Amino acid sequence: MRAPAHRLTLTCAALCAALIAVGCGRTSLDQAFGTPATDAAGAAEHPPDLATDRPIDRPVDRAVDRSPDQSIDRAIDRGADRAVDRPADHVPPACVPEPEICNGLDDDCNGSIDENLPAIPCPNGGFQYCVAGRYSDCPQRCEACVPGSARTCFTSFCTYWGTQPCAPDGRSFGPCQEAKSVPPECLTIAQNMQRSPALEQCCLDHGYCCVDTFDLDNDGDRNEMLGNCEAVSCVP
Amino acid sequence: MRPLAAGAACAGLFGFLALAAAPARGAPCGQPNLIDMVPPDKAADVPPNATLAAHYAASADYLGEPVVLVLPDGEEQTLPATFDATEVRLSITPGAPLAPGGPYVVRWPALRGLNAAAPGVGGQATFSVVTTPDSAPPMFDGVAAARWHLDRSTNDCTDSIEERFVFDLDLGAASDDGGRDGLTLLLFQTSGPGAGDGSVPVLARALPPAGQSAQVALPTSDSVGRICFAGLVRDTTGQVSNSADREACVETTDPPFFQGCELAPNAEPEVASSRFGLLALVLSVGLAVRRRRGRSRP
Repeated sequence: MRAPAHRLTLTCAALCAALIAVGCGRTSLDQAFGTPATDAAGAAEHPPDLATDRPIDRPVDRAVDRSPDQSIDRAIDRGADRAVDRPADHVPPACVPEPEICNGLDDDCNGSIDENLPAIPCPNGGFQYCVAGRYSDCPQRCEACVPGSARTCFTSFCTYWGTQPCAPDGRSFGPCQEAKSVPPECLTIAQNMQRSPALEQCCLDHGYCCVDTFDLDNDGDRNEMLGNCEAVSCVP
Repeated sequence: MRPLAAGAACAGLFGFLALAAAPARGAPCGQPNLIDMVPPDKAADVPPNATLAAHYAASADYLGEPVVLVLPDGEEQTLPATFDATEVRLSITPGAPLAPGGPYVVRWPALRGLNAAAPGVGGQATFSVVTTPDSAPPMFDGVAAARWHLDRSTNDCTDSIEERFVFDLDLGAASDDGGRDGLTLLLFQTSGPGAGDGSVPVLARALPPAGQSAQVALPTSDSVGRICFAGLVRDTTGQVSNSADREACVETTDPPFFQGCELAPNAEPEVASSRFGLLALVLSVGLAVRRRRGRSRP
C-alpha cells in the first residue's frame, strides 16, 4: 500500500525546517558579509555601520607578559653559563649583576628588565627604543605611502596608463585606476608599445613616480616605486 | 501653519545632518590636519621645563610656519620650532623655564601637505604651568590586553574597499611628575608579519585619557597570525618609561572567515529558533512512524 503524497511532503517539509532551524543558523556568507549582531551586548558595543563591516569580534586575549617567565628562563640559561661553580639542578643560580643591555633580561639583577636604556637617534629623525628585548626600527612618516599622494601604474588595456592613490592612513595603495588619457610625452609609446618596459621607462624619464612593474632596476621587486617619489615615499 | 513649519524645520535639520554626515565626495584626501597636542588644551599641570608639541597627519610638511606662545601678560612670542617628519610632530622648547601660573596659549599653525595646495587645520591649547619641573621618567604599566576586529570600509580616496585589522589595546596606568597630560604614547608591533625580526613603531600620539584604549589599524598583510604590541610613554622632557618589555598578544586569522554551522547558539532569538527546530524534528519523526505503521497494516 502506497503512502499518500501529502504525508510525504509534510514529512519532508518538517525535516527541512528542523535542519534549517537547528543546524545552520549562521553560514559562512553571514560571516563574510557581516550579519548584524543579534545579541544586545554586541549591538551596543558595535552599533550598525553601513560603511563598516565588523563581522566578528574576537574575545580578549590575555596580556602576555613575557618578562617574568621568559626572562627567568633565559636568566637561568645564562646564569648556568656564567656561574663559576655550577649549582645543583634544583638550586636556582644566583644572578650575577652586569650592566643592563637591551636583551629582555634583568642584567643588573635589580628586578627590572632593560630599564633606563638610552634611545638611539635615527638619521632621518626620531629614535630607536629598547622594545621587547631589541632596539626598535627607526620610525617612518607612514608605512606604504604619503596619504593624498598617488603613483603612476600601468594597466593592461585601453590607455595602458593609470594612477594608484594612497589610502588615507598611508598603509596601502588602492587599485590601479586607468587614466582617461596618457600624458602627451608618453602617448606614442603607449599606443605603439602598449603596457611595456618602454612605457615604464618613459614614465621615469618624464619625472613621474612609477610602479616598477617591469623591474627596470633588476632587483626582483616589482611592487616598489621608482622615479620622482619624494611626495609619495614614506622616507623623509 | 505650525505643523508645516515644524516639518520644514525638521526636514532642514535632517538635510543639514545628512550633509554633515555624508562623506566629503571630492574632498582632498590625506589633509595635513592637526591631530593632537601635548600638553592638550586646558592642561593645568604643565612643568616649567616642558617641550610643547603637536602631532599632524602624515601628509603634513613644515615650511617654517610660526608657532606662537602667548604669555599670561599677553605678550606673543614666536618660537623656533622643530619638525620631526618621522613622527610628524612639531615642537617648541621655550628658551627659559616658563613662569608658574597662566593662562599660557600656544598656537599651532595650519600646515601644508606634501600633496595638497590647501593648508590643513591647526589648533591652539591653553594651559597653566606649575612650579615643579619634570625631572623623573614617567611610569607606565604597558599594554595590558589586545582585541581585534576586521574593518572593511569603502574608501573614497582610493575608490575601493580597504581591509584593516583594527587592534584595541588596553593600556595600563601611567603617571609622571610632570603630569599625565604631558605624556605621549609610543606603540610598537613586536610580533607578526609587519614586525619582521624586530619591532616597528606603529603609533605616536598623545596618551588617551585613563581608561580609554588606544587603537591601531594595520593592513591585513601585517596582521595575520600572532600579533604582539608593546608600548612606552614619553614625557615632555623626552624621558621614556620602562614598559616596553611588556607585550600584549592576540591571534588573528585571515579573512574571509568561516565558522560553519553552529548547533549551540547562546543568543535568545537563536534559542527560540532551535526550540522550533526541535519541535519540527519531533513532528517529522512522529509522521514517519505513522507512515511505517500505515504500511505494515494489511
